[in-house]
Amino acid sequence: MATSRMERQRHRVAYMYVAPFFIFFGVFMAFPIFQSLYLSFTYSQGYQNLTFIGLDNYKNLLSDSLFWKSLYNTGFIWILSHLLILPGGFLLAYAINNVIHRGKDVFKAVFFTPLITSAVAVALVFSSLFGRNFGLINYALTLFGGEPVNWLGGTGVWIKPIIVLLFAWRWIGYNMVIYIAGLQGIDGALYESAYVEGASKLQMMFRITIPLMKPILFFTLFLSFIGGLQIFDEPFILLQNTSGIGAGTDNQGLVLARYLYYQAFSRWNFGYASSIAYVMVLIVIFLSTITRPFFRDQRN
Amino acid sequence: MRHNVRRLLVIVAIIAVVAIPVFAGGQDEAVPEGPVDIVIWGWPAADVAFEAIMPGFEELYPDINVTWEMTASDAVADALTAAIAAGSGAPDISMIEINYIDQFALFGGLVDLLQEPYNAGRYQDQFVEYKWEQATTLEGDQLVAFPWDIGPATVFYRRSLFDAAGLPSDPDSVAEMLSTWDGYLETGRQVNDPDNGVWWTDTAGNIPYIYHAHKNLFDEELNLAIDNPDTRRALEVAKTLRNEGMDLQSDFWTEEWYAALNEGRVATTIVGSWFGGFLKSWIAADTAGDWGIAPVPQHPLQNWGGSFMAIPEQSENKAAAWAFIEYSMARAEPQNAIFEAVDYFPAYKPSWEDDLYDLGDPFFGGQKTRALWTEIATAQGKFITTPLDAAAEAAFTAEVTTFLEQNLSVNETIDRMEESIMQQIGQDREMLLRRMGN
Amino acid sequence: MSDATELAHETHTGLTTRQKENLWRGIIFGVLALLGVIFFVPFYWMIVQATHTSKEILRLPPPLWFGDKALLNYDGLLATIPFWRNYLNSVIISAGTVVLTLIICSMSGYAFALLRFPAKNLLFGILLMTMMIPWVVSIIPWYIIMARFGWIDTYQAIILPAGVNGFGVFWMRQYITSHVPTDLLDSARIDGCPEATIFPRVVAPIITPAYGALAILAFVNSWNNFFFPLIMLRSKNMFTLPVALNFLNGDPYRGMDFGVTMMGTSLAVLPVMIVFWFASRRFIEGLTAGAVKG
Repeated sequence: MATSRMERQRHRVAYMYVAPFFIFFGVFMAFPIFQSLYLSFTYSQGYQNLTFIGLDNYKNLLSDSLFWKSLYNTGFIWILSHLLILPGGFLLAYAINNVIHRGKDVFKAVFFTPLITSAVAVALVFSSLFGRNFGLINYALTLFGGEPVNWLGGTGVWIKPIIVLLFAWRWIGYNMVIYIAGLQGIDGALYESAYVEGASKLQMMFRITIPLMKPILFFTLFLSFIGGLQIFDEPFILLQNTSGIGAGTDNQGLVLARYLYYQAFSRWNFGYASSIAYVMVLIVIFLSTITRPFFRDQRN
Repeated sequence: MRHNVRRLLVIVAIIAVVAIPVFAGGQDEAVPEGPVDIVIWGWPAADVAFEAIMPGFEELYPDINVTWEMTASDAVADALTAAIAAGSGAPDISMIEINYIDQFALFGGLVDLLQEPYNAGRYQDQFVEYKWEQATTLEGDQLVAFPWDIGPATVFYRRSLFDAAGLPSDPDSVAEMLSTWDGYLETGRQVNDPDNGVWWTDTAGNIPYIYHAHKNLFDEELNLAIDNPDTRRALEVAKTLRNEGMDLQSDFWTEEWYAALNEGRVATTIVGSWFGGFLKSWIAADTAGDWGIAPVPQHPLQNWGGSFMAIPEQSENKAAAWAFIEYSMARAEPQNAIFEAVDYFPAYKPSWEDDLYDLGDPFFGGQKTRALWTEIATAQGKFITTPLDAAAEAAFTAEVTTFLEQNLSVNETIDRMEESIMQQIGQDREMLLRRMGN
Repeated sequence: MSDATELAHETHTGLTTRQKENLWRGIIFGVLALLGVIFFVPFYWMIVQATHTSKEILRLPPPLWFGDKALLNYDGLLATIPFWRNYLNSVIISAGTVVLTLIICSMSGYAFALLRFPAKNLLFGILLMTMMIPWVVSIIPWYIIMARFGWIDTYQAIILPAGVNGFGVFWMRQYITSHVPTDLLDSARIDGCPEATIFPRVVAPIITPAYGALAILAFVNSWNNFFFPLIMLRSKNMFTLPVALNFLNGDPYRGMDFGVTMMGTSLAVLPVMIVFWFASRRFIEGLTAGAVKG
């Protein structure tokens, strides 16, 4: 009897400790998820005049070219950024950790710095750097005999590459640092024995380093996917002063979160915006189920 | 234990200090007693306008203290909507622009000025008719904002740039040269001189916009009205301008645009009359005398802009707010003082009987600008505004940009515009139709 | 490596293996240094522009060296937005977020790491889910909740939702599992320590590195947060730094002043950067401590 009472007391304490989190969860996540779902079936101006319209929002979404465009843009930016960030971060990590001997801390700090500054600040600087008439990049181009490019305007073809560049510039340091930690976790003895067996540096990298880093790679990739899906700050600031929604010529810089913001807080279509949000949730669920095996592997 | 009791007392004290102001609150009084502060949200150059009438107002109402917060007109509309939606943060008076007025009439949250003690209805006949209509709710029973100005649109041109091209620069000759779109293009070709840093106009995209500047995007049944010969012609003109390098490709309201206007890099631009006020106050104050105006080519009876003054329901100083609105908007003298300062053309008809309207304006080289604007304003027929305008306009201008940048055909662009606009406002339009007729 | 092998390599390639290695190292070092400089060009540009007026900036060639208009831009900045008030807002909100995060995440992390209770696995599953749900799905309801409470344009509107930090809980759990032996709890219990106070008395004092790292992470995240404050904060006096900078950029009232905007950006970025540089080693170590073990 005494044991059971002690156990129950312990349970109570445990619940007391997890309660705060779950209370906040209840108010700020669970309830909103359901309210969002409900809203996605309505039409309203702000949250006045709420009218129930069933699946109309989702139907409209399917034929909404701006939605599909934002989906495409978001995916494009994410894939391209990660093609830069993953190998780039890894190479930087390898170079700093395994190759050079001096200045490691300085380099780590240098490449990490863009991340601790706010995206708004750096986007402002980038929009100045890439200004059509007076930006540094165009000026440098003309010095080398080239023509100035309308980076953020014109036909809009450069908008996504610029966003990718900005995003990669910020996040490469983060990946680099994670990979460095991962590299340090690899037992030096593995390299030693491989060297004795005559493996080249390159072979060592591909046969030892990368496979052992896989768990970390997938973990960061997964988190970064959720983040990348909701990219907002950079495109918003870079394209703020363009006509229309503020996403560049032909909305080539329109990302999902930007479109959601537009629908929710410029047009005050809470219902439609909620349906966009829900589609994003579905995308995450879908993709995480597919990659579940990798994730579980890592968690061990 | 003592430690805990002390902590408890501190918490109670804090709560008390916070709660008392909240519950004491403010009562809304019918008559302003003692000094009252009112806040006005607006956009430039309203601040210059208000400064012009403050002396007169302060004499009549010494106890009312007026402050204003100026941002861009879109930002004001945005902030006002947000404040109404959030239930707090609204000012005592907010300016509302013509492209948002119908939306606000629908959205609610603004005081009905027809009620006691405002009784705005007695002024109805003295205002330009469509202005009154625009600020009235769908059901026709409430007036949610008080009319201020209208914006007869004209071409603004730099005389010295015409001179430099060997062309006459007096208003009558220029009006003659620019009486048709062909004439506009022809003259443009002679004045345009990019190698010497002179462009005919600021942005080709402005031309189609004139026809649909905050108006006539829809007809009365909320069908799209952008597919018509005039708009198509305008698009063609825009294309010609762009392809022949006659526009600076500088968007309105950008740093570059202001600089270009100030430094005389752009020969013409087409905007509403209130633009005169902008030029005079901060854009190009030191270029006085070098400007002139001419009617818009082909279809001179254009309107661009116009504002209203509204009192949000949240205001706790409604009586004082109304006092300000009534004084500044429904009296000829203040309206004309404003007109003189910033060229905001009064919708209050009695103001038009002043001598001011027959005077030459030194900023425009002595031209009788006000007379021309009056001509346009009085001949202007009715035009149609809807709650869908703001969003439709954004889609419209975006497509015009794409049209010019990617050199699309006019046909394709009209199609894209219709598709794009309908996508944006389709649902709202449907809901609105339901509410309207059926 | 013996001298014999070295000599053998030398005759083959003209350089010893060690020399080749050193050469490579030198080259890579040079490349890294060059890249580092390039990485910092945007910051350099930012400071240069902050010391020139808009007129000086909008010309060709653009200014490449510092100007003398810093004070002028500073005055212009303060005339447009209550900059230092915005700074304070950022500090208050970030500090509040950190406190909330540390309390909630450490408590839950502790429970999940070391305690046993029914439905633990279920609750932990929910926790994992929170890390997967895009926060965009919650913002509109958050907005509605805050509006209902009249908390639009307040600090709490931004601080409170940050309490749902699944990642933080996960992090704390990881750290505690690997740094706090379970027998520590048992011995505390045997010593008569009440169950509810084991955490503050026994566990919390020894996990300070985790507190430090999580605090930094939460602080930086909150500091740079933009989307949410953009929606929740409406009056200039309540803006956080990112929102204030955005205001400078998007306000065509009287035209945007580039010098002023860059001055604001510089003042927002540089202090954080300097603090970071002093503590970068600790920061990065703390950041990766939990992540790698996972």
